[in-house]
Amino acid sequence: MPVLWVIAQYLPMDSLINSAPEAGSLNVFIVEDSSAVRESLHTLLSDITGVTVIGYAADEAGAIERINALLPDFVILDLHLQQGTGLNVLINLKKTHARMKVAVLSNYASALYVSACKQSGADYFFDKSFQFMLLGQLLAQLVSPEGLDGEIAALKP
Amino acid sequence: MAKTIMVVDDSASLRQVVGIALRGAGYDVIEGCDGRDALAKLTGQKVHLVISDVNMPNMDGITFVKNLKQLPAYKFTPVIMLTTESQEGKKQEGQAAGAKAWVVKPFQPAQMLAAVSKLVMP
Repeated sequence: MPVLWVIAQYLPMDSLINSAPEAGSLNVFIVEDSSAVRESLHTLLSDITGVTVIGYAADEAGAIERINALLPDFVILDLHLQQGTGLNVLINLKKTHARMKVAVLSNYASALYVSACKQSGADYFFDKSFQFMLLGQLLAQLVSPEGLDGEIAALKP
Repeated sequence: MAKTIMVVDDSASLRQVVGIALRGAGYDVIEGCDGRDALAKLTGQKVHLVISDVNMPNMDGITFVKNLKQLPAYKFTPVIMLTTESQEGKKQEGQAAGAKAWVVKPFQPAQMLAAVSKLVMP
């Protein structure tokens, strides 16, 4: 499944870096119904200087409500939630906060899901089963653009 | 006037992504979260095609198709079933129940739309 290719097709890497609200910092909100995955993400992100996890939600309504209140720079979004869907969260966020960047992180990385997320405005799509660390690399490079290299740099369109 | 397709699946996410693909191709979409819910929503309105999952709570896809084919308004409505590769037996059951095609998960949007285009009622 050429997920990397799909990412490369629509990642607005430059615009994302340029739109960072404050150089060297990135506030991240996680929408994920698995506490184990949330903890793994938190561990991954807490090692990245400048990245701060400002909140979590496990369902659609909670995610929209908290994101609207906290206004993070970057949202990591699972598609299957306890209630509602991640896709509804994505559609809602892109209507109300068009510049907020959203990375979908899902086990459902088939072309059908990737296509629907792309149509709905996702900035990134990561396959949860094997691109977890790549998401960490991306965030590290977003808070330190000079360090843009390796796999992520190769994805610049 | 756009043709109407019913999507029946217990996964809200799957219904949504299939719906996005179908609406993008110009179809109207109605949804059912399982066989029982789908039957309750079929109240005589024109439906040009049904896409149904097999494994669902309350009423599975095979039972749903059998019931659907008993309804005069939907007796000839074509049905595409969504299956996994390991469900060869289910494919045969689906065929016996009246399904016209099977799309194996995971599938490409173009693959599904091609099957829809081929089978949708005029």
